[in-house]
Amino acid sequence: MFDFKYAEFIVPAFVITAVVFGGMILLSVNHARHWRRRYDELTKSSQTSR
Amino acid sequence: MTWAPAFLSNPERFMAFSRWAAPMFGVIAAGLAVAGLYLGFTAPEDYQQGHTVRIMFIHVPAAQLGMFAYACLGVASFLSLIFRHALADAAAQAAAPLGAAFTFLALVTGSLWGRPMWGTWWVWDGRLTSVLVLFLLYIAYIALRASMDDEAKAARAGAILALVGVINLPIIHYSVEWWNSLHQGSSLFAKGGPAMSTVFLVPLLLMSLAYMSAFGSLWLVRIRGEVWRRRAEAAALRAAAG
Repeated sequence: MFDFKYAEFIVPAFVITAVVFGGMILLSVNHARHWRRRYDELTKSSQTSR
Repeated sequence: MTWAPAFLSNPERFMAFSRWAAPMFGVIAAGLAVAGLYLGFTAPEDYQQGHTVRIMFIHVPAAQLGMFAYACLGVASFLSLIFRHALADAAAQAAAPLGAAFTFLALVTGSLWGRPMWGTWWVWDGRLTSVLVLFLLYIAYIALRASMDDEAKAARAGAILALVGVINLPIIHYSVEWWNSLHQGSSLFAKGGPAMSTVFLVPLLLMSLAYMSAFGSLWLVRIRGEVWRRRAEAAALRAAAG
């Protein structure tokens, strides 16, 4: 599929795009999940301490 | 326009909306990307660009989204500055890293296209330099926000920087008309309609819509993350106060 002329420029362009998209998805989802969990922990601990 | 501030002024309504809208936009983006990439890779070679025309299907949408994300950052910053609303500020903060990533992709894929077509990785012309300035504006915004502990002051300073940077958007758009440039003029929004063949136009439009949907999905996820972070920090402060 990638044996065409200029493959050495086309393949890196698509690979870098895929890596950056993967990073954006992973970081965004992890950020949201982390703070959601943190909020749940804090509200649970404050409820049990009352 | 009255719905936008009203929508932004209600975090609960936003959280309920984004809970189903974020995955929906993600699925739409994936579907459009599969179709766009299939048509992009099965399209014939361009008579001038050869196979490198396929880089255009990821370069042009990245450049469009780099600018669109900055416009979103600008609008959210304006609303945050005027109405001092936390959700508008969260939207601005969430847009910056995404915009930086899209602009980075536009610069890198453009460079990978430029080397075989122009014979150089980079030229300091109006279009390329103004897009580099856009990337640096994103980095400056992120660094400014990260350098300040006071959330309200960081929001205000960030909003002012973002609004000053909005002037760069028309400069990017008109740079190819105002100055001599190796970069080609507008093809999609040219006078008299798109200046390209349908075999290239269709995959390009599909990929543009895919990038737009992906940005919509990721932006909503990041705003949700910001809302949870602020709620968690407020809960931590309440717990510390006893």
